[in-house]
Amino acid sequence: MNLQCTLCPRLCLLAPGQCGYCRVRINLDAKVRALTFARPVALHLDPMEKKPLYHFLPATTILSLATVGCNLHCINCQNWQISQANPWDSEAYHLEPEALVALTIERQAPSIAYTYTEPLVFYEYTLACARAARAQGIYNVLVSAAYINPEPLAQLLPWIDAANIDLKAMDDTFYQRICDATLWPVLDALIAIKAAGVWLEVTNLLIPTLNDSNPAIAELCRWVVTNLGPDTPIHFSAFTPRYKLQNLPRTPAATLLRARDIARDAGIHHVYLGNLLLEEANHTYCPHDNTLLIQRRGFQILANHLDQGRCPTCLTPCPGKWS
Amino acid sequence: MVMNDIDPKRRLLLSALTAIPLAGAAILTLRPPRTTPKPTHTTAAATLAPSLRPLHPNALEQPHDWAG
Repeated sequence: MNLQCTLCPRLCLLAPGQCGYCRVRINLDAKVRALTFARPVALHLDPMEKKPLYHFLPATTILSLATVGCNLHCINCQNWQISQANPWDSEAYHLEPEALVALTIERQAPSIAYTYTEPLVFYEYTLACARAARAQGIYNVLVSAAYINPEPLAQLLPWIDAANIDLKAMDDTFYQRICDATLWPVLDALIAIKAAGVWLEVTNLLIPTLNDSNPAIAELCRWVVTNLGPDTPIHFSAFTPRYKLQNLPRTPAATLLRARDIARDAGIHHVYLGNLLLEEANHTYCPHDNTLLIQRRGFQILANHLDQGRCPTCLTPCPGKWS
Repeated sequence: MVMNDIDPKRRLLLSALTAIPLAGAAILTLRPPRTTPKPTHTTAAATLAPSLRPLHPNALEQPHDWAG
């Protein structure tokens, strides 16, 4: 019997034994399953700042994992070796949710990140791990492109504490041409994540000539301010030629600095620049009196001046989860 | 009606039409049987045997290049 996978907006129609676009979800025994359940291919202890999450438990480690598969096909994918791999071609660890949580506790990491590829295509594993982690007081972090239907997202969000969502452009044509996807489900998901009370930070990878014009950046920032609020941090990341997009140069530092100015003009309080080591590009400042709150170099915290989550000078609370 | 009662031109046409399916059947019979199944998603999934690797004690601390 043919089945339809209703997890993401692709709504793949699957004949028995057939995998969907994501290569992972399959019609087996009259049920849509993920072949990668409990089969992570990447498992690492990372700094929280690498996700990147700058306003969520700074300077802590986070156990980060991924299975193969993705429901997007971005031609510039940085992790294409695993995101575009077949489950049957990949060597994986066997790690049941309870074992993952035990490992996280053993390594004294306060959080787990579902990251590197697209955690929403290994949805059942993410959900099972998040439930098991929550039961042990461990936080769950989603690093995703948020290309998912509203219903499964709503079922997952109560178990998620923080998320960094990749908003690739405010342009549906960009999503179609570069990612083989569409924009609107991502925007809906971002609004749903914010509304669910999940701590949210947004990443925008700036690719020369494709999404780095002043109007494109300004439109994205305006949308974030209007729909997610000015306290939602934005991380502008530099592109490096990867995978099938090798004909464009790296994003220059000037583009990132220009994007930061546009974002600040649009009203975003916290703007960070990633993938390039720029002085003062990763510090957190008080939006009220511009006091330096957290000093960073790359993923390293050099100083944290926050006093119980507040600016030490004017006592304005800095949004985020700090302990 | 027997063939001899039919106009010679029509008889020739009918003979030709009868020969076409006969020729097709002969071709199908002569085609060698397929020895290997056509690769499909179904066969890929059916032969799926997840290759598992052990988790070494220091595996988590290994440097890596994955973004995110």
